[in-house]
Formats: sequence, C-alpha cells, structure tokens
Amino acid sequence: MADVLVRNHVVIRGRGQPMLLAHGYGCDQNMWRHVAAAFAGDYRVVLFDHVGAGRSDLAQYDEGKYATLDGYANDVLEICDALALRDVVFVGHSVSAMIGVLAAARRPELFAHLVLVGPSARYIDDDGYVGGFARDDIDKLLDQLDSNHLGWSRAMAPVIMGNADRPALAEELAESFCRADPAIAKAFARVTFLSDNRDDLARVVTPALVLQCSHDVIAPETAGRFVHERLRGSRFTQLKATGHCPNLSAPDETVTAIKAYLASARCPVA
Amino acid sequence: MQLEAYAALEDPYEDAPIGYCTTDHAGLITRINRTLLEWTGYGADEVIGRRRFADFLAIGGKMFLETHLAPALHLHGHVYEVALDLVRKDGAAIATLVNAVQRRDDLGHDLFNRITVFKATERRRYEQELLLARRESEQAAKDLARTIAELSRANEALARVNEELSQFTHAASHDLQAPLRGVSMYAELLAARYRGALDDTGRHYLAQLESGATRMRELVRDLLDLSQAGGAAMRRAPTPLDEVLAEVLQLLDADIRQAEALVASDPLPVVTADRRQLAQLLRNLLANALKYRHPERSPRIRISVRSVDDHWEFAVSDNGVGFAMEHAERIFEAFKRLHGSDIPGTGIGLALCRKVVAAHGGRIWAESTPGEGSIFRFMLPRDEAA
Repeated sequence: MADVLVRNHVVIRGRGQPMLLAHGYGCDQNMWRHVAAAFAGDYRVVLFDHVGAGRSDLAQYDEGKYATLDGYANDVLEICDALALRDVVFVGHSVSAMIGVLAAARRPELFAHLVLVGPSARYIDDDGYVGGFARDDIDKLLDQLDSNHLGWSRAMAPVIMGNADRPALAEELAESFCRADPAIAKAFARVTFLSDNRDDLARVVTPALVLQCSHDVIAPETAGRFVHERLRGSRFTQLKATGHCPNLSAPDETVTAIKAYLASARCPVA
Repeated sequence: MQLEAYAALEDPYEDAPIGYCTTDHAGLITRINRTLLEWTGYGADEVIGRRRFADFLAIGGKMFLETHLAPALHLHGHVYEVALDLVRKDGAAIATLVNAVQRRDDLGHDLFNRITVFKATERRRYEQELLLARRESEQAAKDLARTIAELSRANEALARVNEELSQFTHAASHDLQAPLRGVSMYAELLAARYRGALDDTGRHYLAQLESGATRMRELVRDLLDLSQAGGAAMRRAPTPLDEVLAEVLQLLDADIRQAEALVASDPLPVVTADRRQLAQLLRNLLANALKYRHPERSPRIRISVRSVDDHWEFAVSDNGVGFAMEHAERIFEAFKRLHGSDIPGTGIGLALCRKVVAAHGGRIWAESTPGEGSIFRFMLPRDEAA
C-alpha cells in the first residue's frame, strides 16, 4: 500500500477528521497551499498529486487506466484505503469534483462530505444543457497545449528521462509548480473535457457543497447549478471570486465558505 | 520643460513596440497602452473597466489561461513567454508571447497584474513548423516500426518454411537410402551371378543400372549433408583446421594421386566450429579443384589464410579451367551446374559450402579467370579466446 502514497506523492498535515484535497486539471497539490494551511489546525489534511501531475510517479501513468475519470477515482479510493481514512471531507477542484463524485458513488461509507469547487458534470453543450464548450473547443485547447509545451518539453525532457546531468535545471523545475508531462497533459485534457458524469450525480448519497465562482469560463454557473440540482440535498454557495481557481485567487473567501458549510452541517437545522 | 519631460516619460509606455496592460484583482483591465489597443483594434473606452485580458483570447487560450496560467501566476508571481493568440476586434488572430507579473500587498492578497505582450508571428510560424516536423517524424518512426515488425514476421515465416523444407529434404533423402541400397545390392547380385548369361546389350543395361545407382547414392548423400548443414545438428567446438585438412587429404588421396595434383597449405588456425561440417566444406572445395582441372596441366592447389578484422579469410586457389565471373553467384545455388554430364557432379557441393559457412557466421564467394584458375574465398569469425 505504501507505493500508493509514493505514486500520488501524498503529503499529510495536521490531525483530526481527514480532509482530502484533490487538485484540478492543469495544476498540482500546490494550488491548495492557502486552503491546506487554514484547515491543518483542525483537520488531518491529506494532499496528493494525480498521476502525471506534480511530483507523482510518472512511470505509473497508464494510458488505459487513465482514459476515464474512473482510473483517477480509483486512485482516490486507494489513498483512502492506504491511510485507512474514514469520515472523509473530500474537497475537489474542477475535474476532481467529478472524480470525488465517482469515488463517493462507489464507496459512500468512506465519505462524510463532498466540497466541489467549480464543478462541471459535462463541459460540452448538449441538447438544452449548457456546459460552456463545443467539441471543437477541446481541440483548440490541445493546440494551445502544443504551442506552450514546445519550450517546456525541452526543459522537461531531462527530468522525464531521468537524466541528472543538468542539476540546475532539475532544481529549477523542482521549485516550479503545476508542471506536467506534455503527453500526459494532453491525455488528461481529453478525459477531463470529454467526460460526461451527469448520470453519476444521482448515485451520490454523500452530503455536498457546490462552490460556484463568478465569471468562470471553465465551469459556468449553469454547470454548477446543474450539479447542485442533481446532487440530492446539496448546498450551493456563490463566490464573489472570479475565474476558475478561487482557492488561489480568493483563498479567504473559499476557506470561509467551506468552514461555514461544515459548521452548519455539524448542527443541522432539522 | 516639465511638459516635455512628461511626454518623454509617457511615450515609451504608450508607443513601445510592446503591448502593455494592467488588470485589477477581479481581472478587469485598468490600464492599456496605445500599442496593444492598435493591435487589438479596440478603443480605450471599450476596454478599460469593461474587458478582461481573457476576453482577448480565443476559446483554447481562455481554457489554457484558466487551467494553467492563472494558477501558475498565483503560485509563482509571474509567468514568462506563454504563447497565446489574441483575437482582434475584427476577428483576426495575432500570435503573441505574453509575460505577466503579479503584485501583492503585505498580506499576500493580489493587487494587480502587469501583462506585457510581444508579437511573435515569425516565432510562432517556426514553432508550428517544428511541431509539424515532430509529428511527421513521430509518424515516420511509427511507420518504420510497423515495417520492421512486418519484415520480422515475414522473416520468421521464411525461416519456418526453410526449416520445413530442410526437414523434408532430410526425411526424403533418408528414406530413399533403403530402397536404393536394395537396387544396388540386387544389381551386384545380378552382375555376380548372371553376367555370363547376358549378351552385350544386357551387360550394357547392367552397367547403366550400376552407374545410375552409384550416382543416385552420391546425390542422396549430398542432399542429406545439405539438409543437415547448420541447424540443430551443429556441434561447435575448438577445431584445429590443420587436422581437418589432413583428414580430408587422406580421403581424397586416390583422386590426388590420379590427377598428379600438388596441394600446399599455410598453417591453419583453430576455429570454433562443427568439425564434420568444416571437413565437408574443405572436401568439397578441394574435390572441385581436382574435378575442374585444366586438361593440359596437373592441378596446383593452394590453401592460404589471413586475418581480416575479427575474421579469418581463407582462400582455396587452383589453376583449373575456371569459369566466367557472370556465373560467380549461380554456382553456389543448389542443382545449378555449369557443366553437363562430361564432368560428373550432383550440383550440391557448393550449395553445401555456402550453407556451412553461413551457419558459422561467415560468407563465401568465388573469383575466376576462365582458362587460368579459380579462387574460392570464405570468411569465418575469429575465435576471441584463441
């Protein structure tokens, strides 16, 4: 089981009820730095990198396994099992919101709450449903990734190839956040933006909070509302924070909203 | 004077060959220089306090900005040289490279972002070409791998067919031996007991029968040898070629005497090989040199050896009738003979030689001048240990 913790570069801070923080597409566990610090006093905060991101073990990347979000949900469950986590508050950003939904649908006994930050069950518009994107948009993102990985891939190569004769570069990259292997980033973009998890929402019995940002291009309000409506008994909180990453751009507001939800859930008003 | 100084300070911002803009905490553009306005085709009043930087991007760029750039900018405080296409008011795209720096207050709250934009039309074209080249080379590598896989499958199939053929030849020639022995035996009995009772025609038939049976025995023996050369029957061991040559000369002694031939050899090395097969190789080459001797002179046969890289190169040269160089390849093919029935032969000897040499990791070839003689050369790997 120990290799699961290495594979996903699991980091634990604080003690108490477990709070599992799952980063979204395009970044790694560093995006939780403010939120993790705010909860480490009261919770056992568990951080990890999805395989292919951050300091995860790239060698464990398996195209077949990670061709669907189930592969990632499986990793989340394995981390819970490896650490014997119960009564987990799962906080998932972006695509990890749906990864949490899949994990909670499969093993509801592990989870106390789902906190979904900027969730979308389907990014592509579909017959009355507004996800915010057309199929073609995904291809444009992939092109964009190509352009921006040109320089990166040259810099990443020694790290990926395990070549240690450029220590300065390795050091620089070790200090950089949100790095990703270009090929894996493309595959993750595909599975993220082409997934359709709308039907999975009804399978969830875990209480949930939907945190919706303002002016979020990736997960527009229609998408967040849809998740809220399909998750039975979920709450919906609209943040003033703009963009798709309130955990970075407005950590105070994000932390306050999560704390308010968890406090009220603890003393339910019948 | 003051006014001029102010203008001199202002111009480098407004008219720099670089686009500048500043966005506030909510992402709205609060300041933008003339250059960036010109590039994008908007007026300052349409942009300031109204548009976000993301509004200048096409959908792919927006997604990249939100999923990659924004987190990186928050975590590092800057991002450098990010490739983005800005969309002009008229819908045209401009290739740019974007840098951004985030300014924060003492508590770490971000205050504003400074964004600088460089035109990168040429660079982007190079990059697109690089990407295209990379994709093409990846495709070529895939095609190559597929071709190699197909070739290796074809090779395996060929090897299988070859093996089956070899087994068939072996089985057929082996099974032919028993009835052939019967034919020879009864021909001998017939000759021993009834030769006197036969007339000339009968004796002629009997002689034909005996010579046919002898020829067929040779053919079957050579076929068996050919089918066994190389393959599973190989027994490799250190083999002193001097000893092998002495044995072969012993076997050919009667022919050598009859032809009044002179055979000379360099001292020969020890090689790791199948002794029986190398004996067949030398016997066939020497037998050929004797068989195709010049009618007007007695055979002079010389065996020499030299070291070439990690191989031994052997040469068996004679002063026989030789052959035209256009046949230099053909003579190594089974059943291809340059001569008719005037010189007896099964057409297998040189095919066997080639198979033996190939099975030992070497090659064999021939050079000749008609009327003057031939040289048969073959290479064998030199034993590292020896």
